[in-house]
This record gives sequence, C-alpha cells and structure tokens, in this order.
Amino acid sequence: MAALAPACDSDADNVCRDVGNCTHGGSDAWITACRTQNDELADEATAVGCSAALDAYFACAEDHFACDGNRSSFPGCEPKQALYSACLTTKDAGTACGELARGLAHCAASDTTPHGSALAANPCTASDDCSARCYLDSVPNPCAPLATELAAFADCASHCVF
Amino acid sequence: MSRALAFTLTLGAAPSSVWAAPDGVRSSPEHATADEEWLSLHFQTTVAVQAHPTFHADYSGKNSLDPAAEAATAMVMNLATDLRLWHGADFMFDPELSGGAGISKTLGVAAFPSGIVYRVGNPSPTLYLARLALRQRFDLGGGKVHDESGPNQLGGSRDRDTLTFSIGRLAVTDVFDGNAYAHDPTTQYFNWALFASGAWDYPADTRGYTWGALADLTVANYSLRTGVALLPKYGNLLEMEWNLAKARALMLEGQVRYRPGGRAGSTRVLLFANQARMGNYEQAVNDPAAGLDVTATRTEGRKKYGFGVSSEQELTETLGAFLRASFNDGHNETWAFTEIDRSLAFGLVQRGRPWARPNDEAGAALVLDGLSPWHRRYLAAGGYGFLLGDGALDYGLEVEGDLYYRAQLTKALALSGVYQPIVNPGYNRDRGPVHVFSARFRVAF
Repeated sequence: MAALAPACDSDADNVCRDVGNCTHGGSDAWITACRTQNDELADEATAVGCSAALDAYFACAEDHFACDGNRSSFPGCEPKQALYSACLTTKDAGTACGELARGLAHCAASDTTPHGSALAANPCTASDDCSARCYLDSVPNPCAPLATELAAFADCASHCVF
Repeated sequence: MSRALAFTLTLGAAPSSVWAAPDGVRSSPEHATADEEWLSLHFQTTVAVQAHPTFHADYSGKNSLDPAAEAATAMVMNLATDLRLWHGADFMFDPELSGGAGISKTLGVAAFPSGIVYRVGNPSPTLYLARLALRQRFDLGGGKVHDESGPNQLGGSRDRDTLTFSIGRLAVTDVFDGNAYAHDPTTQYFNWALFASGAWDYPADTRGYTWGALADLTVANYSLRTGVALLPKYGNLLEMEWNLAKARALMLEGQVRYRPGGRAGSTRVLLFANQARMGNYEQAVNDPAAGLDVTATRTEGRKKYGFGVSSEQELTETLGAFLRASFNDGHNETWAFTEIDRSLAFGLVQRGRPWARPNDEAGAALVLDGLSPWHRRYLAAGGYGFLLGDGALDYGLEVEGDLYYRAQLTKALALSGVYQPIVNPGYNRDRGPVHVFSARFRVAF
C-alpha cells in the first residue's frame, strides 16, 4: 500500500513536474530527464558549496511558478537565480563550466568550438552551468563533438529549468 | 482512457440485477430485514488483448492510429472495500492497479476501442488510490427495499426514497450518466463512447477519478442529482486543480423511471458546465503567436457547456435497448475525457437464456461521433489535441460498431470477444476503415 502514498518530492522535483505539465504535456520522459539533470546540478552545487543558493532558487521557483498558456516562468525568482549564479562564478573551478573550460583547454589551438569558448570566457551562470553539465555528459570528447552528440546535448539542455 | 474502470464497480458484479432494475440500482423491493452488512469486499481484474490488422491511411501524424498491424495488452485490477460506519453511512476505499497500454499508445481514435486503458505514458503496473469517499444516506420513506451486496455497496434494507451525499475521491460516473446496458467496459461494450456520454468532458484525472461532492435525491420513479468535482490542473493529466474558483465541474441530472407495457425503462438528462484553464480552438487557428498549438492559448476561466441523454428500455425478458446522445459547445480544448463534441450511440443487448446460457450476453451497438466546427478546423490545419492529430484532416463523422459476446464460464470467470469496425478513425476520411479485435478476460468475486 506504500505506493498509494505520494513520496515527498523535493522543490526541484516539483519544479520539473510543474514545467513538464505546463510546457511539455506532462511527459514522463521529460520530467524524469529534468529531475536527473537537477540531481546532477545539486551534486555539483554541493561539491562547490553553492547548495544553499540552489535550494533557495528551487524553493522560490516552486512557490512562484507560473504557467501562461504553455509557457513556464518563475516571476520574482531572478534575484535567487542571480545569487546562485554569483556563487557559481566565485567557485568556477569546481563547476561544470570550469570542468568544461579545462576540457576545452586540451583541444588543439585550432579548435573553434564556440559553445565551450563562450562558457570558458564568461562568468558561469546557473544556465551556463546546466548547459555545460549537459555538454560534458553528452559529448565524450569536448573537442570533437559529433552531430548526434550535439543533438543529445541540445535535448539535455532543454531540461534545464533556469 | 480510460477512466473506464471507474464504472466497473457500479454495475459489474451484478449483471443479473441490471435486468431487474434498468436504472442500474441494485435493489429490489423485498421485505425489510434487520440484517445489515457491515463490510463489503469485492475484487475484479480484467485483462484484454486488442489488435488490428494493417489499414489504409493516406498520411499519419504524431497522434494517429498506426496503420501498420499492431497489438496491445492492458490490465486493471481493483479491490472495492466498503465499511458501514453507522446507519446510512459507509466509507469506500478502493485501491486499483493498472498496467499495459492501448494500441498506438491510446491515440488516434476519439471513441477509443478499449475501455480499460488509460492515457498515461507509463505502461508499467501502477498501484494508486481509486476511491476514498464517505457516503451518507438519509431514508425518506416510500417503503422498504433491499440492496444486494456488491462492489461499493453494502447489503441491507433501506427506504425506497433516499437522499444520499457522497464526498471524497470517487468517479462521478458512479452517480451520473448511468445506463444499465452501456456503462461497464469490463463486462459490456468496450468503446469509450458507450460506457459514458462521449461529449461529456467529465471531471476526472487520466485514470477516471477525481475529488468531489455529489448528492442524489431519489423519490419513487424520479431522481435528481447534482454535484461539484475537481478538474485536472492541466489538460489530460493526473494533477488536479484544488482551487474551485479556477477550475470546477458542475453537474445536474434528472432521471425518470417508467414501465411501458410492464417493461422497465429509464431516461436520464444530464447538464454539465466545466470551467478550467482551457485553450481555445479558434484562437489557436487564428493567432499566429499560438503556433497552431491549442495549449499555447490556455487562459483561466474558459468554460465548456453541454448535455447528455442516457436512455434504456427492456424490450423482452432477455432483450434490452439503449440510447446515448450528448453534446458540448466545442469552443474550448478537450480537458479530461476525449475529443468528442457530439455523440450518438444506440444498441441492443441480448441475454443468453434463449440458447440455454442465461448468464452469457451479446451486444451490438453503433456510435457516431463528431467535432465542433472550430475543433475540426484546428485538426485540419495540422493542430494536435491530446488524443488526435493526423497532421491534416478530411473531416467525416467517426463511426464505430461494437459487437461483443461475453461467455460467463463460471460465476467468477468471464471471457469476451469484441469486434469493433471503425470508419474514419480520428474523424479522418483519408484514413481507415480499421477493424479492431479484442479478447477480454475477467475474474470477479
């Protein structure tokens, strides 16, 4: 009978459910992928000491979630997102942005991967960090992404709820 | 989706009594008795295999019935627990387990041919709460009748005239839209537009249940029912909107029972009004910003009105007929049941006594379903609903037959064969016809 009682989902899980229901027709696959993505980000945030900022963002996002038509937004949560981004920027070395930047540093001098370059050059925002995590997960060799890997990266990045 | 199982417990366990009381009430006038059942436990499970051969299709979209041959298996299992709390009051607790899928992931046919499949994405068996409700009955006189024990019904005596309130998690179709011959997809017709009024976008999550408060006043040959229930927060999803100011379903139903020539009959007229954050088909077609996506036009406060008529008539001791007709205004997005805006269904049900199998049953029915003008323009332009969308549409009525034979092998065991020809699946004259065959196995005790 345990299955009858809903588990206590985290704020981040609830945000994925809300966005999935509003924007993606309640797709179980999308919601699951979003939650997986958030779990990875949470591990990373914990590792670099930004988990409190990330939790605060998701708490805000859950409280302020809005669905207009089929567009999701979190009005009023921009300051929380900015705080998390600022935390990531100061801890850049331990984030996916930093990891990607280090990976890209090994590429040949002729490498022109625009995505990685941009991530390496700019501060690591929450959105960048999520995208960088997707890139690292989807592209085994950051210096030589395949078309199929880039498609997987794009799909993964679509689950970032920032 | 069926939410079909919602009806299993209303009629499924007492097919013989259906013939004695065509309004679906499992009671018959008898002497009053002091015996009152205090706990009722009933179990049923239904497994159905469904298949169709290859059929012609000029084109297909992401929500089309697959023109290639396919088969699918689905099952549902439920335990109906009913506990008497005090005189006239009982508490229902029904866990339910369902799994499997419909053909083409339950897409592409408005009046879907399997009443035991749900429109949920996950085919793995899932256990969930179907009913959790309190029911209080007040006896109002008119003589005594005896209720037989059944799923979610305690055996015992009560007054003929009653006022009954139900509140909690339930299926609104337990109370509204009944029909003795076409209401239970586990034992009767298998088609969605036959177990319920097709154009009633009735309040339910994707499994057929919701939370609500319902009232039923029955006096002699008349019943008046009303209720309010939650609608999903998002179209065709499990999460319900608990803010009644934002979303709600209102229902009002009158029923009259009669006996022309000594044969029992009944007619119900249901009026319904839903409010939810629905999209609008006209806006989706005309507003380029919507990108031909009705979900992009969702706005609070949208409404859907309509009516349903459900009639049944005993013709002989073993033959009965029914008719269902329903309509909704069709301006706004289908939200909870299926993409039908107009529906007409009628048929016959014959019990097996003439061929010495009194507990067998055969049925033949015809269903004609249609869409509102804006709904069909939306699909014709290439829009997608939650059930339909071929990418284009040459509109025609979706016409379905439903022929079944149920062999009652033992008291608990039944095996049914069902054949459903479908003309214009998804209202599309460029696709079909398709012939759907099903084998349905049911155990109930």
